Amino acid sequence: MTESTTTREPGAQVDPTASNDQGAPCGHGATESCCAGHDTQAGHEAPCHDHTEQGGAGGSHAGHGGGCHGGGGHAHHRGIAALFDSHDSTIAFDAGDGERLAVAAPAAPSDTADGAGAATGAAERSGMPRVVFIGNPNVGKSSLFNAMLGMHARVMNAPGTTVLLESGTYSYRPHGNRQPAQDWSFVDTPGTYSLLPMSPDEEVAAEAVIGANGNTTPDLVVAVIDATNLPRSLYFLAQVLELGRPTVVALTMVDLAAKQGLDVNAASLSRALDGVPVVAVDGRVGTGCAALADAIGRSFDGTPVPHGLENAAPRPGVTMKDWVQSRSDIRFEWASSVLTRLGIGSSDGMTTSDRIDRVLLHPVGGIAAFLAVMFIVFQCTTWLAGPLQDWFDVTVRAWLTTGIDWLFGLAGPAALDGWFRSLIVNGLLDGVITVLTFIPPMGIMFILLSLLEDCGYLARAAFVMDRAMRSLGLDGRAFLPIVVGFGCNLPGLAATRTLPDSRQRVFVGMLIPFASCSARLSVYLVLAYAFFERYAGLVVFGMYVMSILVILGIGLLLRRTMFRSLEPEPFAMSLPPYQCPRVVALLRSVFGRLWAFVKGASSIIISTILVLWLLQGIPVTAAAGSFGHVENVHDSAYGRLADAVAPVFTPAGFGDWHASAALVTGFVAKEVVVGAMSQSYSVDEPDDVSEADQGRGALGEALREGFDESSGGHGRAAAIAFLLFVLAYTPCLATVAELRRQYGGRIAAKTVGIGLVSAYILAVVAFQLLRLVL
Amino acid sequence: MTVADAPLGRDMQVAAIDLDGRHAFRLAEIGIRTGMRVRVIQKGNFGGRVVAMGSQRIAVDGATARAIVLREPPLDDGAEHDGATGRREAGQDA
Repeated sequence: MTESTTTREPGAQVDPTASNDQGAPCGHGATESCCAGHDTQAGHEAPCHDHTEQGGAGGSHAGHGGGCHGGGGHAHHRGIAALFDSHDSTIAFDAGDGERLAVAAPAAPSDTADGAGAATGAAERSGMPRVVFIGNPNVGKSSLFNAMLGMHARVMNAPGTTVLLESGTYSYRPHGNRQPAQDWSFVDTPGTYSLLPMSPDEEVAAEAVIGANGNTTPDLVVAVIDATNLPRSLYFLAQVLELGRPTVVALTMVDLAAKQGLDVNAASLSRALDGVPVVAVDGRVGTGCAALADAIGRSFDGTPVPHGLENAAPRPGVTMKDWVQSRSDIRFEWASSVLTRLGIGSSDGMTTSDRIDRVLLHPVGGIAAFLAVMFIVFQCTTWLAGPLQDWFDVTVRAWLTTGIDWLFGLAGPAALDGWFRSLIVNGLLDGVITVLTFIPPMGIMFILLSLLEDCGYLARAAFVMDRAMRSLGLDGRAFLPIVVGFGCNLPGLAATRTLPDSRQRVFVGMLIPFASCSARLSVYLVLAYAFFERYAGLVVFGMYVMSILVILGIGLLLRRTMFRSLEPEPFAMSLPPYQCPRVVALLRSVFGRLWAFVKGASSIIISTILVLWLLQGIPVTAAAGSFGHVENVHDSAYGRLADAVAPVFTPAGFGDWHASAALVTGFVAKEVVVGAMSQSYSVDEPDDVSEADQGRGALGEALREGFDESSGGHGRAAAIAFLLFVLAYTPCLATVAELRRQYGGRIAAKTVGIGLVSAYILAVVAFQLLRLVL
Repeated sequence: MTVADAPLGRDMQVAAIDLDGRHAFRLAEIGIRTGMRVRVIQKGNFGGRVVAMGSQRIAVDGATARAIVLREPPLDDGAEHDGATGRREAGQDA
């Protein structure tokens, strides 16, 4: 775990009641440079007599602690052990309806007769204070959370689920006094419209903020509310406030509200909330984070409960359904009264977002726009990423190999021919390069996702594609990961995080490996040209059609088994106004996600490639050569493994060690299947020869002979069966590692298992039928 | 009349929501409640609609749009509409 002790230098005393329009960017990393140079007095004016801070007051929070480090989550094993550890995620796929969500923790003290009171927490606090962030979807909560924790936020699964929670430790140093830095445990929760959940993700959010189902009761809640959607946000805030925990309100999208003519600011809202601390924030640029930290630091001992609400913390045995519904009218009424106090009426004018939506949500134009966006994303993750991947694979590999050879050369010529050099270059370096080659498509995917998410388009995509994905019980946004999966499965998996329901994330994640990625195309081309030269294009096209059919078939199967609870729900979603994404927040988010991918997936990728190197380096016959220098791969342990596996494929027509060896190699990466075939058939092709020419040339000839022999003269039927097997049998190693990282080992194993079984069935059925005609 | 067949840009009032209790309650929590003033501002594919309530924009699918029953708002519009609850402080529709 990354430890950070970053704190800022103590600065001037901040007027806790100051309310300003400018914010001080903060957060780990960025905080260091931007806060230190701020004028600590600038912008302090117009004090208000409540617990309001707005936007950090032109850098007045230079003395705040802002360091943070990841916390919580699973302890991941490294290396080979990562393949066998017990980390897993058991998913409860029951529909969350709040019926079984009851609070086990002692209820908070009852409130005063008039309903007003104070939410307290200090007396119960022990250890590191726990601060839970909660809010409606698309209100900027996660941006705020990441702005505060920077790169040190750590993603973990909520216990017993695949619902993602981000957590981390925030080091806060109170300014203007000599108190030591305080460490707070921050937890970000999935967006929810209510504490009465309708999905596992919402249930996790509700449990985290209530302290139910084994969760520690939070010492403080940060309720993130959207200034452009105050009626809905205030209703949700009422639920949070009535939990009776100390609560600080983070008010987002104040600038957008102002553009819409809504005069909302932190000071007036805090007054309307009878003194509940309110801080205006913008997570995209980090504005207000320091002020929010100050407000949190002051509020652990309690915050007011506004008039009209009461400290009505749910008591043990009370279901959330009862708790939420029994007081809903009171909360609606209270939200209305706050709006009245704020003097905010309805803003009925046509907005810029409405004008954009006339095009992007148009019944026909909206679909065209969506397909155009999909095309751009697909092209960027394939066409744009390709040269970058090649650069890593060829140029960087050559540089590093040269460097390694130079180092070994220092030890003499014998070292250059030794097994240790082979281990470093053909094992370790190969693994590292494999990881590096996935950084371009993943990075591009993360950038595009952040752009689409931050600007507000992804919510529209869910609406536009809702009907198309509904038959599988999926959100319209599920279309994007699957489309991207046809370019490369890995960024497709990355795109599943845009789905708000963890069941859908897992479901789509299990379907993506069946999307025929571009790496599989090289295998299709070689075999298509080797066996069906005149109809090679048709064969390749047929493989893509089969891929779609397999996705639909597996999707329907999973929908009726593992994901029965994914019933089509009425679609009702709040559309956020369009916003311009901010570069700093975008880059911070992209680098954080890339680092998480490299950290989480590299150990499995490198370990497995080392195992393959080891198998290929162990000679099993006397004349095979020495360890690390086996002349013929068939004489290595790897060859023996291929021999052992080959009979399994006899019913599919390719029960031959050449084919099984290529398939074992293909588990690492589909790009190397053709190379493995060339190696096993001892066909020496130049590097720049195309797949089509390989199929027409010596490799094609060898394949025809091999498949004809293993299939009893039905080589073309066996070739089709082999192609179908390659299409479905397993994704590449990096995809498996990412499946495991995102959803746990059990889901990854199930996905690979389903792939293997369905691929085998497809291949056997295809061969047995086609051998009658081919 | 429902959201599905309401004319675009016309002020209407939610008369009823013909969904099961669980989903009707969620719609209420999002902002679509009986008595609430709404305007349908955008048609989407397969009957989907975007409903405006003040500055809020809620997208609903075709089936949900057909389940939200609307009526003409009362002519007496002197009172300020209660944006959060959908209730009217004066001249409330019976």
